[in-house]
Amino acid sequence: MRAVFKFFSSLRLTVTLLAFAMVLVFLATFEQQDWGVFEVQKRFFETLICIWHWPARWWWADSLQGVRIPLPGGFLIGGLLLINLCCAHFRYFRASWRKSGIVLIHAGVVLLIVSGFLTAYLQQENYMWINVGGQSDYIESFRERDLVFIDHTDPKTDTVVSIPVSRLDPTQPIHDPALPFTVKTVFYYPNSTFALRSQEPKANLPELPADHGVATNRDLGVISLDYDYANDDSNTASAIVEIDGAQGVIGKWLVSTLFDPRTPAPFFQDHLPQTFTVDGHTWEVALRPRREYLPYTIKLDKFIHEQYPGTDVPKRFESQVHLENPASGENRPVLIYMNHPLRYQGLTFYQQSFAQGDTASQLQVVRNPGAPLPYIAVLLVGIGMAVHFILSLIAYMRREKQSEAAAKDAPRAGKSREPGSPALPQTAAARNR
Amino acid sequence: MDKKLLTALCIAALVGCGCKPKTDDSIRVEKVPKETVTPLVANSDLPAGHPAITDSTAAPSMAGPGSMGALPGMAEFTAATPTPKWTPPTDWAAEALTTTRKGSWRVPASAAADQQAEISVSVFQGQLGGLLANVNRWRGKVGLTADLPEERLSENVQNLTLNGRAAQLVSLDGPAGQSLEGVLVFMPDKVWSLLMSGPTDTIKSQRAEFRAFLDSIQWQD
Repeated sequence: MRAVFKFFSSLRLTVTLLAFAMVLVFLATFEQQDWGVFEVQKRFFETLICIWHWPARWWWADSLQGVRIPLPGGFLIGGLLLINLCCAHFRYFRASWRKSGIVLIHAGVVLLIVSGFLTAYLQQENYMWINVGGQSDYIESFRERDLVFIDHTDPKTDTVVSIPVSRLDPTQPIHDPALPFTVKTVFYYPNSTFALRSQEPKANLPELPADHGVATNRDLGVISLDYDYANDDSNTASAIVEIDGAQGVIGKWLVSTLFDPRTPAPFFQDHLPQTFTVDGHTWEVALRPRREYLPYTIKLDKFIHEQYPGTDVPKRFESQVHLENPASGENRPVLIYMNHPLRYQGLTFYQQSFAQGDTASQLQVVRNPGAPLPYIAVLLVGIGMAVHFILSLIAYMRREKQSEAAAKDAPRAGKSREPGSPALPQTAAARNR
Repeated sequence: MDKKLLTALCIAALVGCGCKPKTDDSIRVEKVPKETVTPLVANSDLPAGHPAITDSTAAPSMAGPGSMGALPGMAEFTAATPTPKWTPPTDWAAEALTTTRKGSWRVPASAAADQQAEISVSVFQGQLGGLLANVNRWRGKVGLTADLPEERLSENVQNLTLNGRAAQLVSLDGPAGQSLEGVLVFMPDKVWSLLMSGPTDTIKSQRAEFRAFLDSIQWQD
C-alpha cells in the first residue's frame, strides 16, 4: 500500500500525466475536423481510455490507417492529476502559515479539475429560435431527439408525451399510461435523406410502409445516411412508427425532423401536422429536437446585424428581447449580444446565430451549474500566488536584514576571534529560514 | 490522514471518474400552453413584390431545424427547368415563389383570405408515384379519405392536351367544403403539377379561368 501511495504522490506521475494531456489535446485538435467538438470531447476527454487511430488525411495513411493506439482519456488524466495533487499534498505538506499560499494554489487547481468534471457531467447545451416580433417559451436540444405525441383536444393546453429516440427499438413496443395506444417502431434512422423513388431508380429505394400522413401516395423513399458528427445538429432523423389501438392497427406514419412546421418545406407543408384520432382525442405525431419548456417567455423585439462599411464582415449581432415571467411579474427589456449573455434562473442565453434575412435570431442556451467554479478556482490560484510571493518576499527581506546585521557584527566578532580561526558556518536551518 | 484510507479513496475516485450518468430515456408527460406556430420565414415583413425568403443561405452557421428546404435536389431541379410561358387571368394575385414552385397565385385577389383559392405550378423529377398515387393524395387533401381503386381511375380523370402534351385533369369536391382541380403532365424524366385548391365555391367560380390558364401554357422544356 505504501508503494501505491508513493506512486500516486510522485512528481514523476505529475509530469507524465501533463505530457499525456498535451499529447491528447494535440491529437484531439486534429480529430475535431472530422468528428466535431462534441464527439471529440466524448471520445478523447470524457472517457478513461481513448483509442486513437492514424487520421486518413495524415502522411502514410494508406499503410498506417489500421494503427490503433490506446491512450489515457481526459477523465483518467484529470482523475489521476486530482489524486496526485491530493496525495502529494498530504505527503509533502507540513502545516505552517508560511505555506498558506501553496495551499490556496493547490485548492484552486483542485477546484479547476473538479469543475471540469462537473461541466462534463452536468452541462447542457440547447438553442432557442425566435422570429422578430415572435416569442418562445421553450429551448431545444442540439443533438437529442424525441418522438412526441401531442393531444390537442383541450382548447387551452396541449398534453405532450415525449419519447426519447433511444426507445425506438423495432423489437420493443412502447406502452405508456399517458398514451391510449401502443407505439411500434418500423425503423429509426438517426440521419437520413429523402428522395422521390422514381427520381433515384438506381438506388432501388423500397416503397415506404407508411399508410398515413405525408408519405402516402408520394413516391417517397428514405435513404439512411452515416451520422455526421462534424455537423451533428444538421442530421435529419427519420422514423416510421405504427400506432396500434384497442381495435387493432390505426396506421403507420413517417416522421422526421425535416417536417418542422416552423420551417415548412413546400413538398410537405400541406400534410403537416400529422394527426389521428383515438377515443375522441386528436393526437399529433412528430419527431423533433428534445424540448424543455420554460416557466417564462422571451420575446424578440428587434434583431440588429451590422457589418463593417463596404464589407460582409459582421460587426455586431444584437437581440433586443423582452423577458416575461408571469410567476414573478417580471417584464423587462434585455439586450443580448456578443460577450453579453442573459443569465436567468440557471440558464445563460448567448447570441449564437441568425437567419431568414435577419428576421430570426438563434440564442444558444447553456445550463452549467459548475460555471462559477473556474472563476473561483482562478481567483484562488491568483490569491495563493500573491500570498506566496508576499510571504516569500517578507522572508527574503528578513534574511537580508539578518545578513546585513550579521555583516555589521562580523568585524566586532572577528576581533574576539583568534587570528586565523575560521568564520562560523551558516547552518542549514538559518539558510532556509 | 491514514495512507491506506487515502489510497483506497484515490482508487475509488479514479473508478468514479469513468462513470458517466446514464442518459435519461424516460417518457415525459407535460401540459403546455397551446403553441402558435410562427414560420421562421418572416415573409410578412417583406415589402410588396419582394421574393420570398425560403432558405437560410443568408445565415453563416444556422444550426437546428431551420436549415431545411425541400427534398434534396428538388430546388436545383426546379431552378434548372425552364418556366413555361402562360397568361394568368387578371384577377389572380401572384404570390412569392418558393424554391420548388414555378408559379403561385391567390384567387380571386379581391376576396377575403379564407375565401381565396391557391394555384401552384411545380415540376418534379421522376414520375412522382404515378397518376393514381397523386389522385389519392389529392383526395386526402380535400377530405376524401377512401382511396380510389385503380379500375375506377379513368372515370375520374379527364384527358387534355396542353400545348401538344398529354395531360390528366382531376376535379375533386370534398365533404367539408374544400375542392381541388389538379393537372399532371407526365414526361419521360419529369412531371408537371398544376394545382388549384381551396373553398368549393371559389373553385367552382374559377374553373373557367383555370382552364383558360391551362390553355395559355407554352412549354419551354
